[in-house]
Amino acid sequence: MPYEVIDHTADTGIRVWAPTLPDLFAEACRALFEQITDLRQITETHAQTICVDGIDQTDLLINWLRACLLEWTANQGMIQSAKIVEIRDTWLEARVFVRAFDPQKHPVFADIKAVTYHSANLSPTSDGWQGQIIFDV
Amino acid sequence: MELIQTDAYTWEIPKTGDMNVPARIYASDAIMEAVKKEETFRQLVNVASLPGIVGRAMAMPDIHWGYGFPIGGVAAFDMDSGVISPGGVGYDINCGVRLAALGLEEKEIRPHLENLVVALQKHIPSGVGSTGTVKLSLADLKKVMKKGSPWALSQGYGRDTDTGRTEEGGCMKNADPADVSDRAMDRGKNQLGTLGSGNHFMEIGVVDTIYDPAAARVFGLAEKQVTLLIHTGSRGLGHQICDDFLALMTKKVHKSGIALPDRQLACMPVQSAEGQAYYRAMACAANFAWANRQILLHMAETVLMHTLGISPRDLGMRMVYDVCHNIAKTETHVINGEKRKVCVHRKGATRAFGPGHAGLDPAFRETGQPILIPGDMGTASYVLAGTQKAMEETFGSTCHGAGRVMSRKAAKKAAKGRFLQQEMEKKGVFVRAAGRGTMAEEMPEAYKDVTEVVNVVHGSGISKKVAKLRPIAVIKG
Repeated sequence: MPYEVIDHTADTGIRVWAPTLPDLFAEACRALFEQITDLRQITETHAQTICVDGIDQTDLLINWLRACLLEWTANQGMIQSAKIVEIRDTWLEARVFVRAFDPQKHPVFADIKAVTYHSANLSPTSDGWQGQIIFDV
Repeated sequence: MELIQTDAYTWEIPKTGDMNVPARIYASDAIMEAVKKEETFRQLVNVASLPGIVGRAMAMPDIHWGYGFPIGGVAAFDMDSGVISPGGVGYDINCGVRLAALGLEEKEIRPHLENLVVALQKHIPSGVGSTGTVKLSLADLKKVMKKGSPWALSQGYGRDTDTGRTEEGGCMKNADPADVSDRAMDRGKNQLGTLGSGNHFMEIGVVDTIYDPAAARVFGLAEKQVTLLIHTGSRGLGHQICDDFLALMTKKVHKSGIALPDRQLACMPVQSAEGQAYYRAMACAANFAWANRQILLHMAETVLMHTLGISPRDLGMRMVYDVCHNIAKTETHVINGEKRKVCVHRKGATRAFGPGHAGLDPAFRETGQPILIPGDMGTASYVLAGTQKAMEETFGSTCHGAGRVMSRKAAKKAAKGRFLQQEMEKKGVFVRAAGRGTMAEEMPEAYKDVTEVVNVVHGSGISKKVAKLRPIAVIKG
């Protein structure tokens, strides 16, 4: 499941592809945290449940990444991976695997501060889904 | 989209399509050429299309692409038919600048610069995830949000005269912590007294040139004098308040029937319950930022005294002014000959109230308010004064800084194989950065030429040049 980093004058973003919607949401979370740190260094995680809603699928993707990012910005936690338990058009439930940030062990590549609506997009492709999100750094 | 040049420094976009008002850009030919490539003008037109916008949607010469509203954007909205938008203020609510002048000259401080930079970096928490030395209980955090600079003063940070030299006296009265979410408070509670990361910094400079001796005297600036400038904001607290209200307003505006060209423009009527709640929460973040800069200046003063081994009297630190760059405020302006209350959004723009404005400290009634324009870490920062023309044309607003021209990634690429710290030292500027990559991301070439930006606002008459500061040492977050 690939993604690419979008280079922007003021900030940074990701473009993600996946065969299914749950995969795309999980992959977007991984892409977000790979901008922040080296996920290979994140071990011994504990599981947490995240539930979010949105006014449509794109809004749901933004609110999902917002909730994931809050682990970092408010709780100093790193999400190592995510599993989407259930997803509908405007609602989802997920399990995320979190590790407390340890400044001695975990590098910080970029201090992502917010998930924005700018140029946000989620759309079906011929073989799955594509999503695009810009982050405020 | 039609762009009509109306004089040397102004371009107009006439009202067409969904626009409710025309748009205006203050820029030089060179700046226009550079900005044309971006989608910035489209963003300005989007702002001009929002309900209840008054006069013109405006962009200052440091205009660049932003989220929803462009950076360098100024827009005023009618209190009854208009809207308030978290995206029109930005994530870092009351990101701003505080400037102090010292009773020392460059020759007295230069031999100690390296020690000073090291000591400042050691004692002023900066960088990703840094936590402050000011530990706050929830009750105290609420006091900070309610009272701003005067709270810091009551705790012994700074001097009584400081609040008169701070925009709004360092406190927006409408602040109500009841409108701030627990998660926003979680993000803010350990961050008071921290500089932050990214483009936030502390700079020791020297007054290089005085353009307006009378105003400089009133501001407390003299040639060769050493200055200290702090650029930071409301940290995670402001970011979370912006994000919380963007999410809320996205849901509400969807149901209200207001059609938005960009979701980041999410807004609600100024007088709606959500609009008012945002205003009160935003004021909390603004007050937190003023208290933060008040505390940081005090901490820096202590570090300077200890490192130089001198008394407060010999250091002679006095505040020049403190301005905010990201804010929405209810203000009274004369529009078409009529006094009207409007909600002015300044996003990457500075208040520039002219001489005689009742909202200014009596000390600045003759000169207009001091305006602080930080540049990149190697070039210059400027002190300007507000003008009557700004009152007439821009709702008393002007530019805020240089503005990026290079993405962070492009800057890192351009910096590869270079020793930026040494390059800066050769230019006479000692720089230390906390974050990995910050030096490269924030290098001078990544920014527009601040002098060009300042010359536009001076040339167009919406501000007046007072002094130029040359950096000699910089601490980056």
